[in-house]
Amino acid sequence: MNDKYCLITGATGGLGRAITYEAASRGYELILVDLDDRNLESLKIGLKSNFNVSVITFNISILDKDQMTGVWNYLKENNIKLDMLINVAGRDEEGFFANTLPVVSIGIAELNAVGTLSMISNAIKYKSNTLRVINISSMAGFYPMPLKAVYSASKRFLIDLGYSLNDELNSQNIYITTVCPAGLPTRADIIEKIDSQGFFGRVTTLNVGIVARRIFENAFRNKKIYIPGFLNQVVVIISNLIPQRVLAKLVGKRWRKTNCRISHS
Amino acid sequence: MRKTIIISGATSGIGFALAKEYTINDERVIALGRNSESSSNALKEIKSIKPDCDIIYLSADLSSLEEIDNVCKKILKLTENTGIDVLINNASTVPKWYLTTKQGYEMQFQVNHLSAMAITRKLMRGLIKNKGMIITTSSRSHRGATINFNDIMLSQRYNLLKAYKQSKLANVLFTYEFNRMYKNKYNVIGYAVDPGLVNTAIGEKNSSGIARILWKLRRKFGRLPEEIISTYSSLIYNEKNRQVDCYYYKDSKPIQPSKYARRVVNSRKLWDLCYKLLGDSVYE
Repeated sequence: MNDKYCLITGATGGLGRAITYEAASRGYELILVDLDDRNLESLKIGLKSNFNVSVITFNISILDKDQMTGVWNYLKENNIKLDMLINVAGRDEEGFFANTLPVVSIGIAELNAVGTLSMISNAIKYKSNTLRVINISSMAGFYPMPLKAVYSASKRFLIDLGYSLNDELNSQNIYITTVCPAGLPTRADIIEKIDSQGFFGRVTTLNVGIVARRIFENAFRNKKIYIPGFLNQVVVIISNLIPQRVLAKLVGKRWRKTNCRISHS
Repeated sequence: MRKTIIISGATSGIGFALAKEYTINDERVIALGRNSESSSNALKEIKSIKPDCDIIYLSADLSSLEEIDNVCKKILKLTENTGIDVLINNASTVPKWYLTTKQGYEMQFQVNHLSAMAITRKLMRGLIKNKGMIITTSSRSHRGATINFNDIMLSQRYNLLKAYKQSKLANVLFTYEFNRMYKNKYNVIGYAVDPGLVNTAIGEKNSSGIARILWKLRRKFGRLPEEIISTYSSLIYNEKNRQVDCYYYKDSKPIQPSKYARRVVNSRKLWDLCYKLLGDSVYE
């Protein structure tokens, strides 16, 4: 059996679609898990018209244990071994913590951190000879971020998790690559944000098709962290030299300013 | 005889000028706009000029194959008795970034080219009934462009102008291949129009900074949309044009499109690829 399998969560978003296309172009048979059934169906049609790969879709939430059992059972029954697991599913929310409903804050932490964790812990039971895990974190994971407190903390969780699991699991041929992109121009509201950051926003932004290809290239080089864009890499290196409490102040200031610019435009 | 004319991208620029012109000419116009707000504004403006107009605006996001499917069903219903005389595929977009549709297709390729092909195919029944015509708004910028068949979505080398040129070349290739296949079979004929430099907001909608300034500057030199619609009208009202074997028009005259656009291998290859991308079986 030569088929290579790749499981992708959150496949219907902007980055998810690009990653799914990249995986299909590399000949992976696809297992897609996503909440949005109509978009999932559209994506499947697009993939089928472009590539000669099988596309299996599960229209469920990765947080729903019972429904996820269905996915794992499907793998077991069909004797499918995973070569790749790509965790794209995640949520972003911003605003003052005190103004955010607890259910929203907790929901972000659950999806971004616990959701990804549960995918990894189950997927390793169905690994092929090698399993490559790609987790989509964010540049926000490197900083404490006022106004995006829970989001950035949940992304930090993925960065640290990746480092530790690599240390434990590399000997079993499981490799984890944590991807930390800055805002990607995939939706009108994100593009507006990139534009509102002016020159800096523009030069730190890459087209999502290129990012998707580089994510795979980095994963196959067993890179532990991949930050798309040279400038973003420099920013992360420099900011790592600054104490966290100072960073929090600086980032908070910038987000408030951006927030103002958007709400006034 | 009053003509039934379908126009996409009809809420601004050339499309709006065409919708206005043919409504005033007492034709029956079915206009497509992306959202109902811009559509109702356009309708208001036309109604203020001609209160008893026969125009209807339908909303459809042409980046979605599903919405194209739905809106075409509505059009076919509305034109059940009259048939369709003219379909003007005019909608275009030029996003700055590489954006993809729900199917994962590059946005310009989908909206500027694939949607035209999809709408044409869905409305064929009405067009055949009236021995109709299809006019697609192309551009001079198709010259010098080629189709990047290895990465047709340009996912690795997206650049707004490159993608725009490719999509406008695709419009011409589509027109030529369409005529090869259906002109004699069904008496339906396709044209591509080069509107020249037109004063529309197409580039400004999605750009900022220097690009926006350049688009604005470029726009100043352009003609008003109202000035270029004579090319469309000459095709619609002058039956003699059908005798000519050239399907690319500028300033109401046939001219040759680029060599690349006239090569059968290219148009055939693109047609087959797009046919597959449109997933016939699923959306029919």
